[in-house]
Amino acid sequence: MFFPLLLGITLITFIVMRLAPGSPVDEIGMSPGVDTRARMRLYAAYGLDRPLHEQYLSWLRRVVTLDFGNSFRDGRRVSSKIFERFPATVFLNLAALALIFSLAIPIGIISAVKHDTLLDRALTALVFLGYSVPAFALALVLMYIFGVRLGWVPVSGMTSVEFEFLSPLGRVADVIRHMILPVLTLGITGLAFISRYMRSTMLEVIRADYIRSARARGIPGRRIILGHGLRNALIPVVTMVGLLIPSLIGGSVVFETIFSWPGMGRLAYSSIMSRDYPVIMGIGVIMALLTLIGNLLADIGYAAVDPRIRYRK
Amino acid sequence: MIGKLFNNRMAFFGLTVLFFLFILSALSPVLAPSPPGEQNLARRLSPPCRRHLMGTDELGRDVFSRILYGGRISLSVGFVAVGISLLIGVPLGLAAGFYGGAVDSAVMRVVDVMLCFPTIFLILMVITFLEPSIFNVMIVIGATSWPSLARYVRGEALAVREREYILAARMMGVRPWRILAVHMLPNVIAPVIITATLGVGSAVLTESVLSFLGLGVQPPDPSWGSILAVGREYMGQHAWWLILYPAAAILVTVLSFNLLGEGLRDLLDPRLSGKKDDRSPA
Repeated sequence: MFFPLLLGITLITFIVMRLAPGSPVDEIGMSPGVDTRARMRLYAAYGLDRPLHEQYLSWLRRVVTLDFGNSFRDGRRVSSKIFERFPATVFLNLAALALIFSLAIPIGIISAVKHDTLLDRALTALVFLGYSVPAFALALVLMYIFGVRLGWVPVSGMTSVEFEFLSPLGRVADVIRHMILPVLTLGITGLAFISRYMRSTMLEVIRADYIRSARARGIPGRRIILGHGLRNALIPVVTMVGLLIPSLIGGSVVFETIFSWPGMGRLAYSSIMSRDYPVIMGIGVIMALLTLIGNLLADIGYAAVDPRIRYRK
Repeated sequence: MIGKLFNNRMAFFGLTVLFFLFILSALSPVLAPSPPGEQNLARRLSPPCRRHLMGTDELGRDVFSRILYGGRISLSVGFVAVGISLLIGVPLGLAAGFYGGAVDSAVMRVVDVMLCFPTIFLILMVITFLEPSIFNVMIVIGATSWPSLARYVRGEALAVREREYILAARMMGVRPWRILAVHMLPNVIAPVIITATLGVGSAVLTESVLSFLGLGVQPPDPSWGSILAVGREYMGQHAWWLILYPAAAILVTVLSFNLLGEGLRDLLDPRLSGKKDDRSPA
């Protein structure tokens, strides 16, 4: 299941990119005066003159060894271009995940324990609002209020101009200050997925027989909820991380562009804009791979936690 | 049915707001104080005042008028895109569920592969080599949003296929396409309506993201996303009205479609209420 999907992914990326009119050769800065022969030489140099299936196969052969070729734009290796951007994206998304879980789990628990009260409804409504907020527009609103109007936090980039001259501790503080807005936006808009799931799992658990017998044994309510209930409700929720990955990765294309965050998403956007095929294909494959791994982790995690789910064969 | 819709507060609220949005969009030529493209360089970047309720943009155009006309465009993009996605997703999903076997695995493998890509990445990839235009935005959003719909419809179709009335129809020799259209379709229509309603909201959102990135609605046509892009550019000059109003317009529209969709879900498909869905929040 895993490898056929991966093959399909590379095929779709390849076809989509090659159907595109406008070749990268036009974008490299060819003046109208350049003659056809020079143009053909460039095509040959990039391998664009060979039949499509040959181009695909030779590309695929190298992809297996994580060699995505060289960027059309600056001639650097695609893999190093992507991997130098990778940590920034992972870092940002991990921070966002941390925020999402630290808010969503308490919200989900409170909502479930106080089921159908005013508090539950208010929390549910707030979560729904956060879920419907257009994330990129919220990003701009926050940027204006906290960055421009109040001047509390920087609005773009990952580091300040004077980053080189800061002490190690100062550098950490600097990056954290730059992370506040993107993480906040990602957190608010990504909250709903987890907190809704937490609420419904917790509701299910609270009605289970072992919770009732714990109550019958006279164990205090708080301990039942946090000790017995949470432990059982939390694990399936944690496996949801896998399913959050695709939306976080997809969102990073837009977010990193807005916040000028030097990650993979912004590289994706700028490569798409300059038709840098090798980079786009490389990022496409990496993103899809992350999604596949995420789904796999969720499945494995879920099966490990819940013995009722077992895969046949 | 309709009475129930009015009793469900979420759905009712969403429906009411959407009704007003439609009226505003339909009447925008009457309501707008000036044509959306009318420039007045003497009054550029003017904050909201009596003459310009939502201020003016970098070319002195009235933001209120542009938001009204932008709503027209966004809503039509939303509906047409969802229409396209329905035209692709529903027949494919029904066929996959009904026929099973090779048809099913062919359709579902394509669905699986497409769902591996973050939708926005797929859309960006395709939109850059089509001329960015309203028409192409509709097509691209429609063409990339059908997989989850097809999967959903297939699941429903699988369940319906085993019912006695389908078996009876088969035994009477009813042709397969007729079974699909007359007997299956009406029975999977509930999830389709729910998904379509939520889909319009997310299509409106995607359109605004694309226009914000300069890949959607092209100037001089107004769009909420492109107003936000100008707002970002002039953020340093405190042109907050270029951010707040289009952001609020997108929020109200998306929120209403989500409310209506969730309300419909509670009404039409009680099994699903509270179940999470996998749409990306981008």
